[in-house]
Amino acid sequence: VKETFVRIYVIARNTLTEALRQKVLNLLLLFAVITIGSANFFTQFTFDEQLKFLKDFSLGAMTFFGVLIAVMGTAQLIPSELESRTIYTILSKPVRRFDFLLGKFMGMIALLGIFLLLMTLVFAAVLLLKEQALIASETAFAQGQNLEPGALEHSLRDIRAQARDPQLVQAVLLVYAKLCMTAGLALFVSTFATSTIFTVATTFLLYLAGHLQATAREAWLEAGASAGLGQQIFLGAVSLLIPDMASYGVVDEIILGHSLPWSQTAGILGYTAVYLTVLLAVSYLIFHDREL
Amino acid sequence: MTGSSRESGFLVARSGLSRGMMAAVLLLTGWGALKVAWEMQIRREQDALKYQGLKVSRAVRDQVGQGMMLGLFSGFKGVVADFVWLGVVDALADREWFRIKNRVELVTALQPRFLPFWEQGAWHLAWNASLDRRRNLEEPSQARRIRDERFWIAEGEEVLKRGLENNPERYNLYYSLGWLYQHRKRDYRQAAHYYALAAERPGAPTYLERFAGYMLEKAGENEEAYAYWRKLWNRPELKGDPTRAWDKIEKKIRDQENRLKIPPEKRIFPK
Repeated sequence: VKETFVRIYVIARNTLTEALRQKVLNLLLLFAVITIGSANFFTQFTFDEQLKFLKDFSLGAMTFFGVLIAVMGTAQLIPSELESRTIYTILSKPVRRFDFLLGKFMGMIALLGIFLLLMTLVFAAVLLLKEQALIASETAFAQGQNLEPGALEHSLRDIRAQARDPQLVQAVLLVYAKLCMTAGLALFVSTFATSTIFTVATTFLLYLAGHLQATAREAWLEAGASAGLGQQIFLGAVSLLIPDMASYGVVDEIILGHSLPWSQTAGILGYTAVYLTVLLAVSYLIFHDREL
Repeated sequence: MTGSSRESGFLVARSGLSRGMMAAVLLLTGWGALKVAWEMQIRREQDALKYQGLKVSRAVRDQVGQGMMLGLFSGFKGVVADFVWLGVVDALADREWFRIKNRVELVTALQPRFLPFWEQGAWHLAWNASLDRRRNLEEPSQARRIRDERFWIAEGEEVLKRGLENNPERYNLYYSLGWLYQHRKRDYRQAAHYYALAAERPGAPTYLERFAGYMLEKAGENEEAYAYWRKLWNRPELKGDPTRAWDKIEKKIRDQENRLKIPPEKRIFPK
């Protein structure tokens, strides 16, 4: 068992090192950081709106660029090994296909974790700068105004509460879960795809369909006999085979300042973990029989 | 797998599914049944937390355009709402009031729990649009200008009332509605009603409780205002809280006791 873990760890580390050297992925990270940094420039709005815009654009950039990195990075994990023929060397050693697949996936989610951490640090810095700027502008505005006692303090308390909302930790975790789910889908597709472009395109379609899965599921469960057979089969297939990506939409509620219980976050993280385990198992079953 | 073809971009078995592939299909289907139940449980919990927002439909697509629709499909509802809101600022510069009205309706449907969309949207309609129409020199008829002004005030009021239906537990929109009744409709009784409702909500600034008293006085309801000020004064448990502005409340009570000629034995502050 220990040897298995060591093999998986070595493959994961190599995957991470190779991914960190890829210019495309680093360029995407750079774009993400620039986008988050520039989210600070909405200044003609109320402080509620400014903070919402900043959080929306920052977490949106983390998701958007994170998904690009997850799909593009994962899609080439197997094809690049096949093209360079290193996979034959690796699998000829006492490395099982399962170790290879899991190691590759672990390396990718480690990369996503590192990139997301960097983006989160930039986001936190921008948020704190925005907080200071808003406090300064509200205080300056209150000078000379005949405000009710406690009005300024109430505004400043609101700004601090929104800028330092501890629930943003849950939001980042949920974004990470979504990225891992996307990487899992890409890995699954890449086990039976023969070209990177096919994997990338199919994963993006699955990602989009995942956001409509809840609608399809509701239609499937509520349609009953009124729907045609073909329609029922299609809706059932979408409901059963595609993950519900819209469940990660609770990040929007956190941005709006609504309370999100940790139990709800844990439920979604648990769902992601179990789903990824199943995806890895299915990917292994397909990859195991694949002719290389 | 006994054989495969790569032409179509993915591996296809030539002579049926391999054992591994069949096991994969079975596993995916079995998990699918479980996961649907799990997803429904997650959705029920989210519904219980009153997470809501517009469901994507053809009508929405027509309003937001295809680019933003792709954003909605990709899970970026907040960012799409922000872009719609940025469009309100553009329309404001061009004084396109009906465009603003449409955008406010759309953005509040996308994110009905974000209060500034309701507050600012109502402000644009009940203040900016109505005052613009009132001062519209291209319209020679004063009666029509007043009619237009009232139309936009009513639109702003409607926005706030729809906002309240979506956010009944928050103080902000009661406050905004009170403000609208006070400044745009000069209906001080209604303003007092909504300020009092705002002050009762959790997280409301303490100064809001005095606004209801001010409005009752402006409405000429001095006896009711006096009773209200007395109610605010008779809260010994809050006496240590400086934000309650006890000096202002005392002054109001003294003024009303003089105005209403309250007998000395019934006064809080005898002469």
